Amino acid sequence: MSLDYLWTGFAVALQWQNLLFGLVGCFLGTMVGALPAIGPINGIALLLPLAYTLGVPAESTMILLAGVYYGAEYGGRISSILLNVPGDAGAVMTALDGNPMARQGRGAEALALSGIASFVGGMLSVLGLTLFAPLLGRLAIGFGPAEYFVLMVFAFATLTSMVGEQPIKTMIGAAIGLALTTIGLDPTSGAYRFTFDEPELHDGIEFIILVIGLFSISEVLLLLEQQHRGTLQVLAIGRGFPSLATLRACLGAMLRGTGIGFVIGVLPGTGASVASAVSYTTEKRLSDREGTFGKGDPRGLAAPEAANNAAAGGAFVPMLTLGVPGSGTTAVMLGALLLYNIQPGPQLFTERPEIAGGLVASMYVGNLLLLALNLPLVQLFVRMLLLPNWILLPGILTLAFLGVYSTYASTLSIVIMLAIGVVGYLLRKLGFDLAPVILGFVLGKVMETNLRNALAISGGELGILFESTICQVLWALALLVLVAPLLLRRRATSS
Amino acid sequence: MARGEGGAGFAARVPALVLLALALAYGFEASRIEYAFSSDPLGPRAFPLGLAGVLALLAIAWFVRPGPAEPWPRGTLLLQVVGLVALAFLAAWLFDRAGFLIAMGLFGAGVASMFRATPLQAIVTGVAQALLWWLVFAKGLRIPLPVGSWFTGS
Amino acid sequence: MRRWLAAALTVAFVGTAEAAPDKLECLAPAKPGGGFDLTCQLLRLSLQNAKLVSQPVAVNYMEGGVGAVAYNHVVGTRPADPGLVVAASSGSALLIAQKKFGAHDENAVRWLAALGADYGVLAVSADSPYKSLKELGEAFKANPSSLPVGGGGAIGSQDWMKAAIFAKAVGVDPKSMRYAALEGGGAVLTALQGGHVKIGSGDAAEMAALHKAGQVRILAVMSEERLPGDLADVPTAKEQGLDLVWTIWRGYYMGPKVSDADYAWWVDLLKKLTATPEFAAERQARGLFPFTKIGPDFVQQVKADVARFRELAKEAGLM
Repeated sequence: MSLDYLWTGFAVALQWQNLLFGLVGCFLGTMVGALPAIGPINGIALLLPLAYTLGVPAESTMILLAGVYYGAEYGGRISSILLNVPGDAGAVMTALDGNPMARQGRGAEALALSGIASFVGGMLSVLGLTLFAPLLGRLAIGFGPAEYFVLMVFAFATLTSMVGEQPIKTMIGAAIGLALTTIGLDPTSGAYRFTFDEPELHDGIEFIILVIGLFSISEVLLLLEQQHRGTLQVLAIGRGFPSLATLRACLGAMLRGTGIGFVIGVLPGTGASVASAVSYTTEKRLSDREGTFGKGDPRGLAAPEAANNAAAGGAFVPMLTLGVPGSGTTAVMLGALLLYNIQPGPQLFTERPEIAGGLVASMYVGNLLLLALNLPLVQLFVRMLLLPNWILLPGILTLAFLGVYSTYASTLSIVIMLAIGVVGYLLRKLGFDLAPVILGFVLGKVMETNLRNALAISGGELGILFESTICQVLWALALLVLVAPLLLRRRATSS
Repeated sequence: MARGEGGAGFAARVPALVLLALALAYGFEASRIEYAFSSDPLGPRAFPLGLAGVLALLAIAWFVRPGPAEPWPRGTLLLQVVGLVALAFLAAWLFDRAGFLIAMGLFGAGVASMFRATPLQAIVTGVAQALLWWLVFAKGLRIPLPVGSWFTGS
Repeated sequence: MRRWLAAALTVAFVGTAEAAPDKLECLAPAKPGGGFDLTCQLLRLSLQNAKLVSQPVAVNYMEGGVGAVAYNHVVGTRPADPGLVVAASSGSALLIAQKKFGAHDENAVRWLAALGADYGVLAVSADSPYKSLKELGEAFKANPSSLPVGGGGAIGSQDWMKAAIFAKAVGVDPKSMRYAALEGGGAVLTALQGGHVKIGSGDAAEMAALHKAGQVRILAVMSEERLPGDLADVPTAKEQGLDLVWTIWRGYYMGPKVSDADYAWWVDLLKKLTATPEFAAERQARGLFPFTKIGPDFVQQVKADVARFRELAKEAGLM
């Protein structure tokens, strides 16, 4: 495929009104992303009918929506880092090292670093999209149920890196996460599992409800205890920019995060949450020699941040090359194209280069805009930490309610969220990490569904899980991830 | 951080027993999942049943070695933690009935006063935040928020 | 995603026959971007373009149980709201028939109208050796396990049903199909192209573009007559000797206690709407085929569908 469409695209994206649309989209996206639990899908669902009714041309609408989508990936990290309350699904892993950094008085640095990592991930993934889209489309097609299952095996292999000082509790956490995914409609047999005749449970526990409950509610309860004991820290905001040495140390993590995130984002069956989870656990497995991950290691922040932005870019590959959405948000954007009577798919590049090209070009422009927008805003955002708790915490709790309600509009969902929050508090008091629960939840459904679909296709023969080249490569990678740290350690001791 | 290793008392092991009970209940429910048939040989029960087994084993392992845990809150602190949770559930109950503004205004003021706001500060933060977020969501993002069924009579 | 205007806001306004309800709302019982959203957008945009009402129709979302939560919500909380219509489809009727819609049956709401339809299709990948439904049927009958089927829903869903009536028609037990329940129509298309499944069960509108682009081959449309547009060259199943029809209508229902006068206002409005060119244009833009049933006609359609689906589900061993 020639790159002519892209030059057309830049000509479109660099028109002043489209630049403006991009800027507005990026800004709004950062804002909706920054609010805990409000994701890009809310922003897009709001703006799309508005843009259509106002008669905004299709390419400008796509640029606006892409800006929101990208901006939300940038914005989602802010509350993760500063408050330990993830802003959206892709930002859960960001909190693991980002929040400890903030607690050490490196909040501004963490925000800036995550902005840079997001930029690297976002920019390289658009480059990958530009150069390899058709090839990647074929890769996405190569993934059937068996391949997705083995991919999840690989993900679980990387998860062994999370086993810390209390392996039993790590495993219990992951098992609880897995168990939560079995609530609701069984996507294979159509049976309702653990729903107790309650239609609100038919779709299962939504990821965002789990995240808000586990993190926001338990965090506030723990802060209440710390205040009572007089151990509540006053956080310093710190200087604004990571040192060159830190950036150099994070470069490898960013590049690996980008690679993992991009490939996982390309696959329609997995998204930003899986991408950031796998990149974090892989990075920990590969680089965490001193056991600093989870205690404010910048690399543990850079990897998942690069990954979730790379996944956001990768998700456009199936949409543009196959006409199939790569994620929930791209599904809405696909709907946007249909609203303008434009059929997405490979012919988009030749038939409507101003749309396909404009969209891709706007991602380059959008990432630059977001970096420029975000670095100065760091100083503003970080001041959130200076607010007294009696202002900040009612805000976090109100947003927790709103985040659930705006998505599921039911008070039962709020009650479920609160109950999960109490469980999260109890788990943390008992010495559990919450990350394994989230990881088990993110990976569990994809794993079970695809294993069963693979076996349905093969009629129960396990051979299907080893048949294709992709499967074999993934099995090998899973083994490598399990064995590599041992080998690295042996080399380190023998030298 | 208090230590609960090795010689931990029975109290430190209670959570493991609770988890064991939950695992068994989960497994029992899993064995009763109703379905007509499944095109895969595993069916909808296999995965949760297996998980229940794993969880039960892990619960037993946890019972044997409880590991370190933080001390539980006592006295006034316990009252405060329980109070905050109760306030949250009350706010959820009021959410549809009294409407977003009242439920969140009360909740916000309550939480603020637990975090050592003066009564005036608590009231101001409760009212101001309820209004602020209502504006952002109902007006800005156009997400309809409940007005309160008590006032509209249904 | 489920959102609603505070339930009671609208209850205070009990409309009269001539007066429009104070607020018009279409509730899509799903996330934005899906089929229910599309159904609501059709109503919103065509009413707006045809300028038949002075105020816009607000589209809100209430995700849950493929529509079951919204169904319960309307029956339980907003049964008399004159301005509220809820998007539904033949999939809703299928769930009701299988008693998967909670405690309520098809008589619990007032069915208003269907304004468009899509049709089931059976497809194979572009490099498949099968060029007609007849060839596919023979191969399937000879060795069902060599041809795994992919659909965008669980066992008992519309996609499974389409494949099941095909299986039954060629003499294969639906239970012995190797059926992979994939995550939506998009996943069926990629699984077909990747060769992971050999037969794809889906909807015409969703698959038409890739059929035209030569990436998958639709062997039959499950409609009474050939479909216009990109699929005009695809024969119906009936033409190929198999009596398979699967109509996916898209329509609306209202609360059970909505007054006859308000119901009549809507019936009247939709009758006027469906006669306008603006409506026809919007329907086409949404990828829907003409299928208009309003008022009593539609009520009959729903009841007949539920009865037929109940029968099918029993025959297939689902109940």
